[in-house]
Parts: sequence; structure tokens; C-alpha cells
Amino acid sequence: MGFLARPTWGFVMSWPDPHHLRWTPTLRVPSDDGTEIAVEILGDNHPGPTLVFIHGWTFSSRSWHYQRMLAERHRLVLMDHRDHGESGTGPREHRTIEQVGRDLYAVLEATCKDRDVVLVGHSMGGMTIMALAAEHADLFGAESPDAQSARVKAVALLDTSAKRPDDHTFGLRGPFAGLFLKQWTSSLALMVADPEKAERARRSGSAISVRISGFLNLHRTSDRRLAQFTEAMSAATKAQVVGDFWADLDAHDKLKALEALADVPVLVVVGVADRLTPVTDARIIAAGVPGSRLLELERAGHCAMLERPEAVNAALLDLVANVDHQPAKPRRRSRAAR
Amino acid sequence: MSESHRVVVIGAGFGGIGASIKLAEQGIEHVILEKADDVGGTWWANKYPGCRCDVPSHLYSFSFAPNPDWSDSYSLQPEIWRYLRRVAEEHTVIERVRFGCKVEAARWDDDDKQWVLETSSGTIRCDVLIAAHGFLSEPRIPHFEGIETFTGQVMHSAEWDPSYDVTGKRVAVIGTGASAVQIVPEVHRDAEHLFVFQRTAAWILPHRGRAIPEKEKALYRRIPALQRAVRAYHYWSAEFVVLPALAKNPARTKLIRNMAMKHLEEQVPDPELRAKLTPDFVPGCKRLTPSNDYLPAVASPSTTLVTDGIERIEPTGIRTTDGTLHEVDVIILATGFRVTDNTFSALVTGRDGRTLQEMWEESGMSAYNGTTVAGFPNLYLLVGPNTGIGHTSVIYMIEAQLTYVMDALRLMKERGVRTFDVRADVQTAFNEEVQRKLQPSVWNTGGCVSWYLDKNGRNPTIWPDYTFRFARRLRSFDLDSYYQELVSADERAMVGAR
Repeated sequence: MGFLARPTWGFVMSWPDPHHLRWTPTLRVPSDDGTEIAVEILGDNHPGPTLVFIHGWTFSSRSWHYQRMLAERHRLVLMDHRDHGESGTGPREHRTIEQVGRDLYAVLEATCKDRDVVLVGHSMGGMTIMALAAEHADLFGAESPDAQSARVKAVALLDTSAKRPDDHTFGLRGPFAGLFLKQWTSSLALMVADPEKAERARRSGSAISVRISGFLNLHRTSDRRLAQFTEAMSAATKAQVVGDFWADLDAHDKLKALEALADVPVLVVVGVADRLTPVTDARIIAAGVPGSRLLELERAGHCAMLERPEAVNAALLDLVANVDHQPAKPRRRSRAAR
Repeated sequence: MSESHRVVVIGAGFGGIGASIKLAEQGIEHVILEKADDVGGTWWANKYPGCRCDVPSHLYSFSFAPNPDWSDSYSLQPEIWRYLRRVAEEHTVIERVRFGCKVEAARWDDDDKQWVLETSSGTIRCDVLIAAHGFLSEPRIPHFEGIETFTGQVMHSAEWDPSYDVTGKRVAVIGTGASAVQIVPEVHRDAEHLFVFQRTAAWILPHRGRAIPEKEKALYRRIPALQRAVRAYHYWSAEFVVLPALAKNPARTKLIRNMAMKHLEEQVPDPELRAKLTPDFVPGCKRLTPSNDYLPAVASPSTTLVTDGIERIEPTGIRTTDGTLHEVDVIILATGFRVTDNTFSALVTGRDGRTLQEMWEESGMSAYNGTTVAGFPNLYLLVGPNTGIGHTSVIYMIEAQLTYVMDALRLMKERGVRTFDVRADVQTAFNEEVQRKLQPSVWNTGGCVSWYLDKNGRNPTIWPDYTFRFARRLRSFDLDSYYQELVSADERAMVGAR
């Protein structure tokens, strides 16, 4: 493959539509606790590695709007997390990162048996990959114990974190930071304690709600249509789900699980203006996984795949090309152990 | 354990010396490998008579090391070399140069994240490699049938033997490019008879060089701002008068054409000879060559202008396609340099095991910002692809690149970055843009075959825009365009604890 030869997309990218979030799953995969996970498969006929996309907190598989075009060249699997999008509702106590990691495992078993896989996770989706790595380290790297399983050949972590920093202030400074944090914590607490009341207080679709979603998720220069889209996805996620998962995200610590990732090529992408999982979080991952490549994107906040799709897609194609070139990378582990 | 450095600079010409000075300013440990026995690069290698720079001296020098003592507004080679040597001495660059050290191979070791250089003095490793091997460093020696049977002397302009005296000899000069235009008048003065073998005529402009009087030098010494003003005048007039004509609107080269035609008419009265000396392409397509002595030397009765092609070389002379044998004692090859097929690229092996040459065979010589290449982490090319210019000083481009490289090195240190590797898609987009801008330029449309173009007719050498735009692009290192590999958390902790 020509190293410098890059495809140019034959059509103009369109804006994602906040009014069309519903979709019809290709299949529903029951997870280990019976909860049905909605899965979409695109470009099913392509040989070669499958890209599996795992979305973030309060979003859905629709957040991969601009990555769907990769189906021109690769097989794609998109999933909705439990209690998000088209997936079924699970028991409240199962709203944990560990559980969504098991959901991902179930999806891989159902859709990618005996296939090479590139996992692409955004935000909580990245943490989901870390949870999978913590429980099924054997999937990562060249040799899988039984040839029947999926073989994870590469991982892309977009705007995510291995451990939430203690001094997280959403990129705010001064008295404003304290005020915002107080409001944030109490809103999320309300979502857990009294979801009905929280739901009424949300004022979904309002200008202020769009403004807040844009502030949290996007760079200040990003288009308002993207903010409308991220707001719509979040609004479609039930308040209690939002609150329950946040509590678990906040406690998330998967620094250890990063070791399993050292066996595969890892791409870490972060927007320079990411307020939810700031650049420092990405740098901790990149420094923790030997051989991983970090991309810090200008003009992007927490949603690089929506704000800089051209860069993210090119980087994903680079990553997949890497898989095609290098079947095994056992030396990475020896480096890590050194 | 082999020798290891933070930075290795290949070449001690303008680029290498500039890089070393900037690296030393930042306190970055480094060594310079130079294959020759002295500094100066092309200004050390090229010692043919009449060798001079066709860019005004006040502009063709480092901005941080002005020279009020230029004796000519367009300096001759010895003076430029002395300037470089002096700058290198004043900034203690000399003691960091390893002379007579030729780089035979450079390979990226992706396990240790280092460049491994095989040199004539052993293996040398480094984190960052700055290739300042030069644009005009490798003589192009065309193959003529029978050249090995020639009983006289053969010399390339860049491999001039100063001990060889042409006095009273019959001399052939092959080529009519920049070096030929400078050599011909000098050789003509001493030779018994001169043959100039011309494939394409060159546009000759009047040379406006003048000796700078002592008083003026003293003035520059006393008032450095005055010299800066002269430098700025040369810079901006080249940007706004010459460049737009060459890059944007070749029709505007009419002015240059008229100037050259008038010059030709004044200096060559014979209409038949004049017809032979009139180029058939748009001026600027090949490098413009100013000279007041070239045309009179060619028109002199002791000179023969040969426009027939060279058939072969025989023991006593050169036989042209019309069957004539021109008997000569010495053949001077003023045939220029290997620019678009510089063999240095064959020595450099990147991350995926392919050499720069193999990559460039496929895509044409290209880089991002003329400096970095995808798949070749921590490699910086000085005067790399599409950084050449036809209108101003290349030193300006070198300094812009050095600013960029130094910013990258600063970020590496501050942020614990181990490697920078440019995104392939960014590099591709950059080159699409550059090639698009080159489309209407005189270098691509002027109707000539020049060293600016590669064998596919692509232009991998010229920066087609204002040079200040280049400098602005490279003013700070754009992390957005690069994959970073970070120093691992453990190693950082170790360094911190030390």
C-alpha cells in the first residue's frame, strides 16, 4: 500500500441530524445478564480487520456519524451501551464500567469470532475497552488461546481517561469552577436520587441545554449543529442512567489494565480543549502504554470524532494499515517488562 | 554500547552550522558529521574560478550574524567560505564537528526509538537526526560514451582541481547553467581556445555587482541598522517584484526577457550567434544567471559555441552528432548537481523498513513543511523537498526551518515526548497544496527541462509562495499534525529522581 496514498472521500460530509437518532439494529446481542445490546454491522463483505466502535457516556452509536463512511473500506460494528440508544434496559446495579466491558465481550463473541478486530472507544467507550482488557487480556495481542475468539489487533482511545484526576474542574478556573462543580454534583446526585424530578428539570432541547452540551463536549469554535446533536443524544438517555453511570465513571481506575494494551498498537486521540477528559488524562494513557501514539487535535473538545472527523478517520486508517502490515508485536511486552 | 547523542547533524554547510548554533543556544548536546575536511559545504566544495553567489551578500548570510565587511555586493566563493568559517569559529561550532566522517547509512530503530548511523568512523546513535546534507552537494556527472578513453583532464565544476592550469590549453566547457556562466569568462581569459557545448541557451541578465567601498563598510560597522535596512530592501524587493512574476504570472516575465534581450544585443553583435544564444523558453524557468562577461567570452573569436549534441568522447576530444571532432586538452563538466535524485535518500531507512528513496520513487520527493516525512520519526531535513527558491536567499528558508526544529526539540523536552512522526494525511494535503500552487508557475509552465523538475515532470524542489509565508508556517511546531510517542511514566520518574 502506498504509504502516502490516502483516499479522498468522494462526497461532502453532512451534518448529523439531532432529530433522527432512532435506528434499526442489525442484531440484538444478549449480554451475560440477558440485557440486549443493539448492534449495527456495516460493510459486512469486507475482509480484513473489523472496526468495533464503542460510544461514550450519554451518547449512542450515532455519535460515530462521520466514521460510518469507513464502511467503504472496512467492516464496521457499532454498538449501543445498555440503557443507551436502542439497547435494552438492564438492572440498575449493573450500570458499571465492568458490566459494559462484559457487554462488549458479548458483542465481540457474537459478531467478530475468528476475526481481527480494531477497537475504537470514545470516552466511556475507551474505559469499556480498558475493562475488557482487565478481564480478557488474552484477547489482546497476536495469539489468542482458542482461535474461535476475536483477536484484538489494535485499539484507538478517543477523549478518554484511565483514571479521573482529583482536581478535575472542567477546564474552568477561579470561583466559577467551584460554582459549576457544585451545580454539577448536585444535578447528578438528583438524577440518582429523584430521577423523575431531574427529568423535569432537564429542559431538553432548550437553547440553554444545547449551550451546556456544547460547552462540555465541544471546542468553542465547533459548529452549533454539533452541539444540538450531542444535546439530543444526551437528552435521549434517561436521567437516572446518566447519574448511575457517572458515579461509576468518577470512580473508574484502569491504570493497571493499560498493561494488556501494551501488546497491540494503540492510538490515543484527544482534543486540546477537552473539558471532560482533559489532555493530561490522554497523556497519562500515552505515557502508560509503551509504543502508543498520541494525537492532540486543535479545534476539538471532548468529541474529536465529530469535530475533526478528517483527522480521526485518517488516524484510524493509519492504525488499521498498521494491523495489515504487522501481524504480531510480541516485543512490546518485553519492553514493558524491561 | 555504541556512541549515542541527543542530536546528530549531518553536514557542516550553512544548514549544519546554523543548526549547531541554535542547538548550542538551547544547551542541547549534539555532534556534526562532515565528510569533508573543513566546514562550508557547497562553499567549500565549489572552488572553480569565478564561483560566486547570485544572491546579494547582505541577504545571503545568517540574520543573526551580519557581515559588514562584504567586499562585493555579490560575493565570490572564497569570501562566503571565510564568512562561514568565521561564524563557525565564533560560535565554537568547529569543536563539535567531526571532520572526514561520512554517513553510509541511517536506520530508525523502533525498539530503542533512536536513529542508528553507520559512518566511516563507526556506529553512532541519536534521538534526533538533522539532515543538512545539502541541496547542491552531489555532482551530476552525465555519462558520455568513451569518456574513460579521453587522454586529457576531466573536471566537474564542484570537483575543481585548483592546481590545474588551463593557460594555453584547449578547453571544453559542457553546460550553460549557473556554474558554466561563471566559469566560461574565467577560463576564456587564459585558455588558448574555448569550446562551449550548449544544449539549451541561458537567459543572461546584466550583473549588478559592485565593489563595496571601505567607507560604506565602515558605515555598516558603525550603524548595524543600516545594513539591516539594505538586507530588508533586497528581501522585500525579491518577494514583491521577482516572485509574483515567476510563481503567479509568467506573462510578467516579459520585463526580464526584455532586459536579457537588450543585454544580448549589446554584447553579441553577430545576429547568427545571437540567434544561437537566444533561449526558447520563458525566462525564470531555469535559474536566472546574471553575468557581464559570459556573452562577450562566448562571442570572442577564440571561443567556439557548439550547439550540436555530443555523440561521444574520443581520446583527443569531443565528437558531436554532426561528425566534427573538437580536439581539446581538458573537459570541464559544468553539469550541475543531482537534486531531485540525490542519493542521500537511499541511505535513510524509516520505521517500516523502507528507505526515503523507495518512498519517493512512488510518490515523488516530498515532505511536510519541507522538513519532516511520515514514517521517519525525529528526522528533520534542512532544505528538504519544496524549500528551494528561484528569487531569494535560501538562508532565510534554513533559518525558518531551524525555528521549527528548535520548537519541536523544546516541546520534546517540556512534555516528555520521545518521537514526533508527521501524519501521512497532513503531509499529502500539504503537497497537494504546494503542487497546486506550482501549476501556473514559470518553473512548471516555462517550457524548459530544468533541475527543478523530476523525471516525471513533478516539481519537488521549489517553494511556490512568498518565503515569509513559509516562515510563518514554521514559526511554531504544530502538534496537531504529528503523532507523539511519550517517554514512559517510569522513565520520567527515574529522570526526576536522578
